[in-house]
Amino acid sequence: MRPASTITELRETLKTRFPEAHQEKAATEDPQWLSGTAFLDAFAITRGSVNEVVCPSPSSGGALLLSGLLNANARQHQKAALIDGRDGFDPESIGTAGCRHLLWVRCHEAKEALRATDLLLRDGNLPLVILDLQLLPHRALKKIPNQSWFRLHHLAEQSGSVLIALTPCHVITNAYLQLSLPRHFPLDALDDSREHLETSLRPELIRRRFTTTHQTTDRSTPQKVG
Amino acid sequence: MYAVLRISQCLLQAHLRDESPPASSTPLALLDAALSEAQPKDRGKARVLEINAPARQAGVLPGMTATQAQARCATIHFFQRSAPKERSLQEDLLHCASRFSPDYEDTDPGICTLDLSSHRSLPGGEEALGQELQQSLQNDCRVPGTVGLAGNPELALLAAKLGSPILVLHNDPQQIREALDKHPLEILEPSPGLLEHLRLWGLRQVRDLTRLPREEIHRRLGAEASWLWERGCGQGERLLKLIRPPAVYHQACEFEHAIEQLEPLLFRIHRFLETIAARLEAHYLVARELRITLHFDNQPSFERTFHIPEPSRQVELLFRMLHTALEDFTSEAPIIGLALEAQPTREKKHQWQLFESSLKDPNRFAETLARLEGLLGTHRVGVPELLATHRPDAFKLNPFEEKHPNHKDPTPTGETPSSERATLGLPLKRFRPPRPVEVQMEANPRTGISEPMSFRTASAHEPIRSRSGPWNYSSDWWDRAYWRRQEWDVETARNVLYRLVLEQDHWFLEGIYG
Repeated sequence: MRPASTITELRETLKTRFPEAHQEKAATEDPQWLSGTAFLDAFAITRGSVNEVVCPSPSSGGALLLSGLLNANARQHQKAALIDGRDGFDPESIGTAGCRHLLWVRCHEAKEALRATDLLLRDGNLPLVILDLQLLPHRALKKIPNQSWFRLHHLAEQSGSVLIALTPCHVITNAYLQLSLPRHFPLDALDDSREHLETSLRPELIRRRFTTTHQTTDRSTPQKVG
Repeated sequence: MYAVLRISQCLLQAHLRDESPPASSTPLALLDAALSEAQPKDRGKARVLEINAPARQAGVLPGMTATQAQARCATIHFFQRSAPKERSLQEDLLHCASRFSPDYEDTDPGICTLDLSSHRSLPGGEEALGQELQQSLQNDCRVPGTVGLAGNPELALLAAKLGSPILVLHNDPQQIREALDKHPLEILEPSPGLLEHLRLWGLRQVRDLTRLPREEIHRRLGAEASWLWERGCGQGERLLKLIRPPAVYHQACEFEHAIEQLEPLLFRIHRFLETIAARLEAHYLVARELRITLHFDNQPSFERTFHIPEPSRQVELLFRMLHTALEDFTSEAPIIGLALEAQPTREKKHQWQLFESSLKDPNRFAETLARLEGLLGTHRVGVPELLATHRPDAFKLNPFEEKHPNHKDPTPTGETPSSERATLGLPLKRFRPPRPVEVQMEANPRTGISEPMSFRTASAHEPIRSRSGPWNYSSDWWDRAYWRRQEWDVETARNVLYRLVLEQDHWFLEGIYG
């Protein structure tokens, strides 16, 4: 028996026996999530996804991205949660408007931050959850098992919330979108207006995971061997 | 049609229903006074009010003194009366009645009379109604009870006394005679003097009385005997003193044995919630706030109020909220009392502002917030609000409310004093607490101002490539908590932008810009 046809028949059998697991989800709402910021909307982030923004340098603009995201979210009257991995969030830098619809969760270590993220994604009431791990040491982040991220993926998909994680190095396995902020800002950027700084923010796309939620990939075609 | 719900030995049952019940073979007696509170010479004179079957079999009778009761039954267990428990049982009994008819009377302790004239007719008739009443009595009061249904209140009361557990007496004189005649006169509850008089006449059973002509009974023994005769014939008509219970959504109790574990406390809380939720439902109300109070032996009470984002009366939802909040609760002293109160409100639909979005499930979100607070602590979850001061890092955390109050501008210009930091330059990521550093200063040959050239932390030495400052800040000179600081923005050789702060002659790294 040819292996390929066996796999094909097996897939067809599974599809027949468990039709509900193979149904395409009816798109009741626009799958794309709009942040209200030019630097993120260009990447077409989808709802129910886990996304990572890597900030290799501490002054590469991670806090600037966070500020822009929170203020844009507030302008849209949307609620959001910020899980602050090392309690480094500065409300003064964001302003009153940006903080008005923000739930600030002040953690002190990665374990607390992940548990808080788990609770909020499981809850599903907030459309945007931001996980700020920038100030946590790399070794603590590398110790986070992959299963934790897989669980967060699953929770985000279930709830439809968007998780954006700001990390000092790549830690999230299988993120839907992985961006990087490679550029570091000079000292004279402190004299520039926030609006201008945000327009100069240019995240680079490192990787995008092919979605299976709204675009199915037909993998039943047998691969030629040899 | 009238119905009577009766709890026999209700004073004793009020004790037994909430406590761990003793074995059914244990003789129990309720005293009219606390043995511990009586004088030593009077302790034996406390009288027995109610007893259970094993105590009766042992020869203990109501009216005996505690000493006499103990002489007849050495293993008898005494209870003292508890007004809160008796009141709670009576409230539950009345609440049970209120679910079947708006017209009911608080007849006596353990007895409630319902006017069912407006009640819908059940497919099974009065018998089915009796079953439903008896089941409801069992569920609501958690004690055994009997139900009597008849055409008038007095006959219904007699039916409840004789029911096992239900007795329905229709308007059939033959049936009424068969039900009542063979019973002793005591079931009609004559006064002791009249009862003695009737016994002297040789009257022992109800039929002995009802066979005599009523007019002669009235002429010889008076109105009371005439009334007794009417009751014996099933003709006792009277008006009910209807009550309208106050809308009280409060339950409290004192524990006979102090509680040290969470489970028994949660059990009691769940019972209270069931009672409160039932009362709210009866008045078409929901709870918008819950206040729980725990009383301790030797320390101040603990009180906490829970705001329910979407007012509800669902027991499980309210219980989950309280359970989550108490999961990590600890105290040094055991709990001796509990009180739970609900603030009622009418169910109403919330109208949102045009561009305002609502939470999908506010109650679930409230539970999530409670879990977050349990995980991290109360003061680490909330909505940040900037304070009207120039002092850096001045904010407070407000509870997350779905509907935010209008934010009041702290200054006449409508801007908080520190808002310019939100529009200029890069945001700061703070170190909390700020990290102490050693800074090497050198005088700038052009300006003569000492400038930071490098700083050393516990783990690294960072040369400074460029710097900007100093900026001097201070509080108002009249401020009692006067502070002053000097800030420098520096860029290290590793292209990291820091904020250095000199405060009280010590240098700190306050945060990273980016």
